[in-house]
Amino acid sequence: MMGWIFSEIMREIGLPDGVLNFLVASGAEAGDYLVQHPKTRFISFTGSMEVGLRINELAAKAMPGQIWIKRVVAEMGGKDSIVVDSETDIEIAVKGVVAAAFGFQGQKCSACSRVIVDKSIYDKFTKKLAKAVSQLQVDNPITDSFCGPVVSAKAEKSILNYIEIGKQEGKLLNGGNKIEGRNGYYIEPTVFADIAPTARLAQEEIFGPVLAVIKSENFEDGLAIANNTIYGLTGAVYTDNKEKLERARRDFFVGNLYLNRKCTGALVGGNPFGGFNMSGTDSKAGGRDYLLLFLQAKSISEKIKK
Amino acid sequence: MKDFTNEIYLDFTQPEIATKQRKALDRVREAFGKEYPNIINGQKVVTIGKTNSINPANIDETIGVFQKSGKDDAELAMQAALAAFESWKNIPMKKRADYLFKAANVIRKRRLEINAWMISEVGKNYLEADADTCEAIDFLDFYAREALRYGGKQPIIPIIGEKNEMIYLPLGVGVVIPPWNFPFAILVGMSAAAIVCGNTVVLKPSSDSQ
Repeated sequence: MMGWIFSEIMREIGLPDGVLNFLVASGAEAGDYLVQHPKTRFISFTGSMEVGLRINELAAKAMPGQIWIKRVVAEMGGKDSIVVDSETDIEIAVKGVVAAAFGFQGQKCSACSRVIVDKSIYDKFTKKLAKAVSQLQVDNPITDSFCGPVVSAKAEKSILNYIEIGKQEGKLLNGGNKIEGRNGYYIEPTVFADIAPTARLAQEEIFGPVLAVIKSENFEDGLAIANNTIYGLTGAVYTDNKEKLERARRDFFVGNLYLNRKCTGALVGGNPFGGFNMSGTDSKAGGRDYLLLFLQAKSISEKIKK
Repeated sequence: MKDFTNEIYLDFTQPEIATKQRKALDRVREAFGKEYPNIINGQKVVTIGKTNSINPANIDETIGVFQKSGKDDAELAMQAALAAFESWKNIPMKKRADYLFKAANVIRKRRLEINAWMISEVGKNYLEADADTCEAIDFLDFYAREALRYGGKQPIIPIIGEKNEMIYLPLGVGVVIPPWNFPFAILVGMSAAAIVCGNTVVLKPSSDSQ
């Protein structure tokens, strides 16, 4: 629907025919065909790591008649962490974590899916977190409830599967079930405590309302855990200690780092957006470098006649 | 021109604003289930197969019926984009930027309706949907200004006896594949950035939001 609306708006304002062509198709049918097409000059993709890597691979092979290296801009997944230090206001941190983990049911590449908590405040934090999550409303979004359904049957199945894995890997604090009796894909906001940093729930992107709580020995250990995934999209740190903030600036390896605020909600212009490692090509949408990805520079030099 | 500023979110805690959004939801609900064509070379094109977009909050409701394109349709779109590139690449950056400014203004006027479609199609709450629409407006306004910067004179070190310049050219035809989770903002941003630079685009949205 949204692609149709934008295409119609562009047609309405008189964008010349053929500049924007809108096509609904499956990736396997038309997507691969377009990516492999010898006349395709670049591919701009945002989506899962699996699809992004496949596009990158297909695009890398020059096809008969192709006279350029295709440019691939890919923004992919995340396994984003919020590190909560011992020297911070727990209430504020809980608020940020809940918003980042469960806003739009956790279906953001920037969503907080791991909260890494210093052991000295771990019990206090998890108690407050569980209470805050238990108060979240899940309902039909026409009622403007905080949480709604997840997007599709496929997403629901995959998330419920991760919840079952979580039940083996940690201690269930909140949720853990599909909400029955509703004619939609509703899942309870779910929190697992005592997740090991290497557990599947701590490593794999779930893209749903599931949060893993991980205990850290200290701030240093917290940052090390935060950096231990294949991704590097967003991350946040809550601490009042300036020296620790400086360490996070230097060592927290993510494209979008947030200090004493939640890790979702990047604004155009002010928070150029894009990630490291398997999160993609760090394209920095909404930043000054972004348009360069769709341009090529030409130098022109004219001799001045005396 | 005014400096870029971010669009401000609506405050849905104010009852009159929430009511307006609910009314917009009622209006789009009346339009549920309609069929929408592809747009290739400015023409509305339908295919034999169809793709239904379902309301995740009530799976008996079909938001809209879309096309199910194959390789032949993709090839038509590619040919249209290739042909359009030959003239679009020569349109001055300023004129291309104007299309983005105009689109941003249309979206501002249709904001509640666009929010309502997103609330219905992917299950966002009001503020999440409004933030998505605001981000789309921001991308258009920001990339239009950026295009003017890249279209302007670029700094270069002078060399005696030469008149030198560096200019930016578009690349060609781009395939844009946006995600379903920011179904308006990211789709608009990715498409607009490519277009404003003088490229032409085949836009194929993710299969969970058309």
